[in-house]
Amino acid sequence: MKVRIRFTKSDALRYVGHLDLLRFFQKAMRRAHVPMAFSEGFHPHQIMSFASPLGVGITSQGEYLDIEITEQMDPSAAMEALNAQMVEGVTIQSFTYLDDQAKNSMASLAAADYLVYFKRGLDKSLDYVDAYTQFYQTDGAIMVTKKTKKSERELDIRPLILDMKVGTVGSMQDLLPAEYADPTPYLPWEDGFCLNDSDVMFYLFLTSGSTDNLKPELVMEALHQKMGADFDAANLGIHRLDMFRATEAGYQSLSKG
Amino acid sequence: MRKLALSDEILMQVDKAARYIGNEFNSVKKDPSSVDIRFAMCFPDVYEIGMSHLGIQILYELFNRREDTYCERVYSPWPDLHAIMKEEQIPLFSLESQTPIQEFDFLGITLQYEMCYTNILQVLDLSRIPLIATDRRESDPIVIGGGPCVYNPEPIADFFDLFYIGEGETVYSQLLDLYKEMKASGTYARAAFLHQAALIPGIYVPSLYEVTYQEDGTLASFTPIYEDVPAQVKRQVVMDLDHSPYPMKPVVPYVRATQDRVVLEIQRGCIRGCRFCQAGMIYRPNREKSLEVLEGYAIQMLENTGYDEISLSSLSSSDYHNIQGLVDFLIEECKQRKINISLPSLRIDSFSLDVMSKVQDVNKSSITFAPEAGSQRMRNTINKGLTEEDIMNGARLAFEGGWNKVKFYFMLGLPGEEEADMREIPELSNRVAALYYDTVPKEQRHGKCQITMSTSFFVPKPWTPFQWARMYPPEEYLRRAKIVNDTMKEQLNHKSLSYQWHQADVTVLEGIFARGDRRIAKAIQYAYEHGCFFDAWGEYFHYDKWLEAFAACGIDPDFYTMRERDIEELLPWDFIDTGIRREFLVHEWEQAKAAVVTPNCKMRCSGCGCKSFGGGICYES
Ligand code: SF4
Ligand code: SF4
Repeated sequence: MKVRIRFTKSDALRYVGHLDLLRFFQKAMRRAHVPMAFSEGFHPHQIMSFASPLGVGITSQGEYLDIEITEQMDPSAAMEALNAQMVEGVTIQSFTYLDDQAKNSMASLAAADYLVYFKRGLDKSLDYVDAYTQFYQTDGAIMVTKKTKKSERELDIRPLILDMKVGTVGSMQDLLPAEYADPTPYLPWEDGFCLNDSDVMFYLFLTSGSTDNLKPELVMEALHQKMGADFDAANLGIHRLDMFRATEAGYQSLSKG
Repeated sequence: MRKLALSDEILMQVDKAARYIGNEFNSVKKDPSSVDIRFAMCFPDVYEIGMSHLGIQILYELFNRREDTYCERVYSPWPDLHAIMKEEQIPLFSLESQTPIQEFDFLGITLQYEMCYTNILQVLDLSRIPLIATDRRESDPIVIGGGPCVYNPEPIADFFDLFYIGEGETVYSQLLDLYKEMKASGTYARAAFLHQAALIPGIYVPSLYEVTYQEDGTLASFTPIYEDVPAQVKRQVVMDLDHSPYPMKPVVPYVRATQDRVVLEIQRGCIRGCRFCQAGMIYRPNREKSLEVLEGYAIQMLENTGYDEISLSSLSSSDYHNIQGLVDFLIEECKQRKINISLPSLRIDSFSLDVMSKVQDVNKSSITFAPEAGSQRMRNTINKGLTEEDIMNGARLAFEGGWNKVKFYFMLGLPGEEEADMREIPELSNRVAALYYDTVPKEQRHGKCQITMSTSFFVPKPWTPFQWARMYPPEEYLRRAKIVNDTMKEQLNHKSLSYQWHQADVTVLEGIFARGDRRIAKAIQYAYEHGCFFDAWGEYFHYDKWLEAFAACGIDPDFYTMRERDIEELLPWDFIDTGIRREFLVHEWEQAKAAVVTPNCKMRCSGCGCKSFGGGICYES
């Protein structure tokens, strides 16, 4: 039986890399007595995969882990058992059975949305609202240089930006699509962060997955380039909201199977 | 939300930030303001190494069982973070509550190998605790050393307020009680506490002993400065391992630790008495846990951690009285749970090969022999009971069972070693390779057999019969390695052999630390202050800086390494009463020179003196 687990990643846990997080979940499954299915071979492994690895330092309120189990479990009992094995910074939000034919989340991932902000404050002389209008509210290509290990290529990212909005930290709810949970508990508000209500915050809805993977960093870099301003990737705060697959009816949250 | 000691900016810069965030599953959470004693437990090496250490987990469990105590962990920040902490003046902190170490009552540092000595200073320095114990202020934590290196604590004596000599499960509670009482009654002062602590058996307070030297540099006397302080400090030993605390809920790291599995300690000590082996002496007598206890531990620990692997911990697992029963149990239990089993330190014989074929992939794994010396004469000298026949029989069975990879561990530079002994290393390996080609028909071979020889250079350790032996200069070690390497190339089956040897200069430094006296501390401090730390990590080891440090401090390293000591000499560690009689060590040293073997504790008691602890193997045979 295939199961999709939705979870959050925040607080200190955001510094745990995705391979370590995978190992954390493998152990949690054992502790919670989830009847995992195993691969064949001399050293069998639990059948388990993430929709998309989350970079170190990024928070999220919509991560997905697909697993296979061998015996039916009551979803709420399973969630309770798993949450008892979590640590501060990871919470299981749902445990949903998938069709046996369903593609796993990694294969079906088509888009993701994010909140983006500036961790340690921003250059007040820059008018991000104006820049945003010139960047996104106009037609025309947004050319960037996409570097991979092997090559560099020019690419128009305009079609890969499904939506982009600008607002402020204080009114971040206005940036979010309807029915989204409040991101505040998952954002890092600790010392050293200058999250002021008046600070600028962006909402980005970007294609994601194996073919047209667009990272929020690249969009923000392009925006700064357009403004002729320096871009400091280390100052960029990113919070993932949700992940989606493409259906005939449009993009649908991975939480809906 | 827990507040971290390091800012996001720093955590995003350093390698493996998860080393520094704490909050691992099973880490203990207490309200620091609700306890009387805050204890910071340190392994002075990187997180992944420190987290793999069983001893710390035992003490962590032991201390945190006390309601009045909160024990937290701290490890050496990796050089990338070290540089940032120095630059930005960030004090070293505990993982659990992310509190500066300076605010703790105690800082306990476990000393597992000599090459971590500069990291002790790193930890003290980053914690802003004065490096020299006698410079410490009333408010500084009491710095305690423990672990195998305390069987000669003298080279680092200046850096510690006290050493705990022996197994932690015994008198630590007395020490903590004393501290709490003195604090509560208002009688606490650093000096008064240390004086009282020195009266607890097993506690050594170096500042309360005065050392004088002869003109030739050897020790003249080693005496307590107060009448009530004992001249001899007695090693503390747990006799009933079945009922002593064990970490049923070990902390489970996020980062992959070196020991990323459940560790089941099956026994302490070793019956074999190899003459080079310090562990085989200082953990005497051999004491076992019962099978029932181990079965219960294994299951509980697997349940509490979720690890997918379990490993046995002991010096010589094959000697456990019911290894068969234990292994059968584990195989059965782990098969159901899909848990891997790792079985280090098993002697190669039909039993262990049968077990290994069940728990590992024969095609990928190798079998390991540690004869430690190539020739039978040398093996007699070191009292390694493994004969060539044992090796050949084991290897043949392994080859028949499908293995074709063999690892050999040897030592070079052993007392009395001659060129013929060195040459025997590749010659023995060649005979094993030949055995493979004789045993396994061509059509059943998966390629060549692969025989790997590794040699380390022998370092004489205190409390062994070789504690009087001399060492050699780095060039001499390398010359010996070259003899092995050249002889290997002459062998018929040389294409099946490969050879690796250890760094020679590290060996020499380890030798100085192992048998050094109090005067060495100056050089360790000098080296640290001139950039040495993480000496156990090849990329950070700078022999030239060490030579400079010794020169600057007026220390002649050869005094510590190149001299065979007279058995009458007062040795820096003689003030410890480990339970091992000096006459026994002297006799063993003589037997070694005559290449005569001594039977192991199961065969016959050799009267080493440890019977006085009142239990273990000494009362079983
Ligand atoms: S078998 Fe020998 S080398 Fe191994 S632990 Fe025992 S005494 Fe030491
Ligand atoms: S007293 Fe005898 S049996 Fe006991 S440890 Fe010593 S040699 Fe072995």
